Amino acid sequence: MMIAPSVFTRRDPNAIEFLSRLRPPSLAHPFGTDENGRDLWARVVYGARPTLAAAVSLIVVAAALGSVVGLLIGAAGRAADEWLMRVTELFLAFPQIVWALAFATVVGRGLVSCVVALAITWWAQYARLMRGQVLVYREKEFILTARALGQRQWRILLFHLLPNCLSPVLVKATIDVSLAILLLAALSFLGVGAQPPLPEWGAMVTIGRKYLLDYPWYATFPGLAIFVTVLSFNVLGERVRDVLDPKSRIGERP
Amino acid sequence: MRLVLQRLPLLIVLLAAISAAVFTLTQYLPGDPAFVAAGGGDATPEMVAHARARLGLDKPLWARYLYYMRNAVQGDFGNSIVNRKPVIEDVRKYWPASLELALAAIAISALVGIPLGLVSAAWTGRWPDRLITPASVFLGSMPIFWLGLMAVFVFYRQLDLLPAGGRLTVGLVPPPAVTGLLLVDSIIAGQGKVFGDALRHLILPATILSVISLAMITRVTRAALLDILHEDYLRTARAKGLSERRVLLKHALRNASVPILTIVGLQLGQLIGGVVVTETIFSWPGLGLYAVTAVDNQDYPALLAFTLVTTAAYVTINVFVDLLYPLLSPQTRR
Repeated sequence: MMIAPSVFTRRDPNAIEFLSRLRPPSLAHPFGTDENGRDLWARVVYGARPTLAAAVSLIVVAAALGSVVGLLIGAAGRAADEWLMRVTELFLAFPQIVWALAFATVVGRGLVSCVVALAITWWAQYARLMRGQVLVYREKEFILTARALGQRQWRILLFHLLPNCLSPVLVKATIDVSLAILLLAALSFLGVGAQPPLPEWGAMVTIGRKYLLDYPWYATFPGLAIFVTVLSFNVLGERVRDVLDPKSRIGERP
Repeated sequence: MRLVLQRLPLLIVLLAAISAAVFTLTQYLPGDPAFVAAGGGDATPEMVAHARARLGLDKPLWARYLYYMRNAVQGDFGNSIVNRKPVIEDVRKYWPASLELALAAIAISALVGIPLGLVSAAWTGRWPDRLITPASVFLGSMPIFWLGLMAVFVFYRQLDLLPAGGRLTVGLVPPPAVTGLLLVDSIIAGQGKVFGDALRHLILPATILSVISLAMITRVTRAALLDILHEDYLRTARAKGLSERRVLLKHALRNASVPILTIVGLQLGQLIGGVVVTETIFSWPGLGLYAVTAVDNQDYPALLAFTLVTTAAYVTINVFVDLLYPLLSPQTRR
């Protein structure tokens, strides 16, 4: 749906038909129409792209940045480790929605500002996760062997440590995409995320709110889309964990 | 006490960092406040320069920041751009409403979540667990703003059982403010009618907000109990002939209390973000709604104050949770 929205609907998500405003769901419009007569099914379908692209890119950036920092922290000496852990603690302590709200208001509203604001705080979680992994594997035999064989430090980091440390990062990233979708949608709902006329699910719920009491389907369907997507990522995350790491269980945030 | 001293620097550094970040951003906004203060279009360059000096805008960024922070520490966050009143007055006016909402929500999610976790740990893998665990993932996947709107539609529009928003019905006089929490104040004033009305207004927003932490509290309770269910002392308790119920409630729950209380405390901090969203849905006159209004009006002094106050609250809660550890569990005492 995200890659090829036009397969799922032949309607233009931005086509305005004033004659069919706020129609209830019907055969022609399975999800009804909005205040400008635009087809809600088409808008929900096209909304998958900005919503998912923003969430995925946020987590990819945070995970990549955090993993690199975590790898370096784990490999660096004691003093640097101590110091960098304090820094990550600082970023972890940011209240995310409040920070993103302030950041996006000042820098300029839009999905991009929200993604940047959240990425600024999110990488620290991955840095800590990665560091923990590196500390576990650093003293393992295969690393010591590689070191004894005279391999260079960066080769050991890149080809021996990194692949072994990645699986918890992947699990966390999958589950975090669902969190990111919820957070970004909430920010859009508060008015600092996606701006109209972009068909983004959170923003659609916001507009639908105005018509809630008389035209309830408007807010229902985009919200349902968020719910189903988030649920799928949560289930997917649990599957990924079962495959990569059968021993672990549901727990707290690292 | 040592822990307090260890944690205090983090709080200060964090507040300094977040305020510096937001403050610096606000200083590079388009538009020249000195030009506006000097009267706009007709202002001569001399007038603008004069206004700039008067507002302290000719000073370097760090000096302006220090000046702002010196006032902020004393409770002066400047005046709102919109209503010209000191921001601190509005913060004082709105924060009790947010506190009442957050406390009610955390109470609901703890009172529901801990028993649910207990039940699913006691019947691991059997039907109560198979029902509760997926249900908590299910619930945790819902965007609360959407859930809130659906609740308004069902309980207000369709069933007409509960009000759609606000803290009190319009026309009802609030009790004299003692704590600022309407439920408490109405009891103190002995006004049963106001209490009932406030409670009816609180139910929906608090329940919706509690959804955020409910799933997490259930999961952690379950995991914490599963961790210890096979420990020797519990086997001994069972061997002594205690009923399974007594073993769980008396022995297991107490030993699992550290992670459970920790997560309840941490979730209280997590709720701050949710409070903003919930207050927006239910027009709940608290700090969150104030902040969203400030966002809409580009009211930077108000927004900056909100950011500082909530960050301080958030970090304080987390530090407080850290301090609880040694009290609850003698093993972590140093």
